[in-house]
Amino acid sequence: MDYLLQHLLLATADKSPDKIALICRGSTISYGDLDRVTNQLAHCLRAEGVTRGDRIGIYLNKSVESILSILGILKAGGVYVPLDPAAPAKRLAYIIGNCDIRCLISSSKKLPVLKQILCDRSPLQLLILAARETGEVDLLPEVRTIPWRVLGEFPSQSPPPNETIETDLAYILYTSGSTGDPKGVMITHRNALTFINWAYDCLHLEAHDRLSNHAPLHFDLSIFDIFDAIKVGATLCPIPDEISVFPASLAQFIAEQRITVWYSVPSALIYLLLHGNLQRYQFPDLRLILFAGEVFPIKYLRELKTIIPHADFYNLYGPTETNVCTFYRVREIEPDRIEPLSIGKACANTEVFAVNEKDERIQPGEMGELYVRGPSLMKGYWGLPEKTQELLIPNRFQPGFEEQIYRTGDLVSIDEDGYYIFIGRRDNMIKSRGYRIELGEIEAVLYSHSQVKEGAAIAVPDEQIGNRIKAFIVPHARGLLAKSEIIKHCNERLPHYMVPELIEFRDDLPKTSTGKIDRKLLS
Amino acid sequence: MELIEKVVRDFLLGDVPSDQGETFLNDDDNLFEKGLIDSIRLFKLVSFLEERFGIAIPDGDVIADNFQSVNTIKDLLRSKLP
Repeated sequence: MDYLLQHLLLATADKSPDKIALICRGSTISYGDLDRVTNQLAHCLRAEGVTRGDRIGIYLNKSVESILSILGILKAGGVYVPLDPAAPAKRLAYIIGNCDIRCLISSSKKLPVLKQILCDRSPLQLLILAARETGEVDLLPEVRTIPWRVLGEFPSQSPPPNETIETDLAYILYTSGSTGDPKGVMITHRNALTFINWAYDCLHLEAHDRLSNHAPLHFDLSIFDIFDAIKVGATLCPIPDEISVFPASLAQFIAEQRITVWYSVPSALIYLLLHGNLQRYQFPDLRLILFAGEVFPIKYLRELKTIIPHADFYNLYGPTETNVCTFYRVREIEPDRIEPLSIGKACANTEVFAVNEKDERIQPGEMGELYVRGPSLMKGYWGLPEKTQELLIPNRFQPGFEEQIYRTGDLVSIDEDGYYIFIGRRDNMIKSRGYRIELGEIEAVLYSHSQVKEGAAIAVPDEQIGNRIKAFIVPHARGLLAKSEIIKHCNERLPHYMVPELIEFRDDLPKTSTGKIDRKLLS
Repeated sequence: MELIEKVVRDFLLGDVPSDQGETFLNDDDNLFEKGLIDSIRLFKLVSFLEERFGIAIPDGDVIADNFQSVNTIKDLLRSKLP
């Protein structure tokens, strides 16, 4: 059986039960044990009433338990919803309410924030707590709480009977929404496996590889780290957040753990390059460096290639809605090159094409919007049928292939050899540190402050992180609103990477002839 | 002359969201666990400390051990001040 994500684990556990699957903060677990404990978690979830298709949240920092949770939820027939461990309570409460999460796997360290989340009429009924401490845990009154150790009471040899098929959901990843609330991208087993299988074939992963996992679980880069490691029987080394934060420590981690495959946003590599004292190490084991999520400024990539000349570098492109859909293997970079890299050509089992405003395929030199066709396309946005229909549309461009295609909103051009080049966005979505940010979501939060009369958010280009965010605010009463108040307001509603770094108060904002705020005139 | 600890504590708590950590910070509290340090805030803190105290903090010193708590930061600063 090989049509569900958990089948990857079953196959590897069968073949290499003693191979180390995960190493995190000194804890290790073999594939055999990973298989057994996740069976137990799945049985426990079923015993608590979880049925096929139920959304189950994971609110944990990087740990062996977070990976166990993913697989246990899948084996129970559930849909895992990873929650950003650093997101503010209001945002988490929204997500939990939005896709009706009744069961959450978390840790006693998160209880203070969980109490905040429950203040807001949440559907949460069951909490499974991964906690090493055996002391008293302050329980939440309305929610049934089970400690992790209870899993030991459940059967471990096989998972509960399965009813899930490949077109059923495996997970939901929430991304920035332009009207103010994040939207849940629904991904099926088949969607995920399309990407996982392409990566396995294209990158020639092997059992002796050691993959890091830098990206948080709610970011789809983690799908490669977790599931391609399992598929090939490699060892996964999730990077504890406190190490990611300190670049010198991160460089040490990569060298000491003998990481062979790295995948992250360019910002993380630039952070390492500028502050990680990389010249202390040779990184002889690092053979593959993959990056995705934002443009990698060519000067930093050139420098990194000089420091780690023996590694293969790949630029991967694709929105969360399709996962990676094109890829480009980096060649030598000319010393005087200033243009960013190509995003390459379509991955196996995926088709991409770009059309201009006249619905014609673009020719070399022309610009158009990129569309994607294939089994990696999401099922849609949770609870947003209209938004889904805007972007998952019938294929009017290819008679005979009328099924859905996804419009990316990315503008690209194509060169003589058929390689795509990313130009920019059609709309107000920007990238900062590789994170996807709808300026409209930030603006909605600004407007939600009673003292804000008008607000606008713009991107200020930055060579290290892509963009910084600047907010312009027209307060109702000048002098009554402080910058710190705005920042506090944003911190309570937005993830840290979306909180404006720069704030400017104005008496009014420039308008277009139709009365809309003219962001082009703001800087 | 302000206490080093107070300067550091005030900066750290400056823009912290009220639901991500207590507003009262002990000098031995783990800053990372309290959500006060992330990759964005870390280098803002480093720049602030360099400017405020007129010292240089090389990248090799920006490690978890030195930035674990207000006390470890104070020790780092003391080692660099004349």
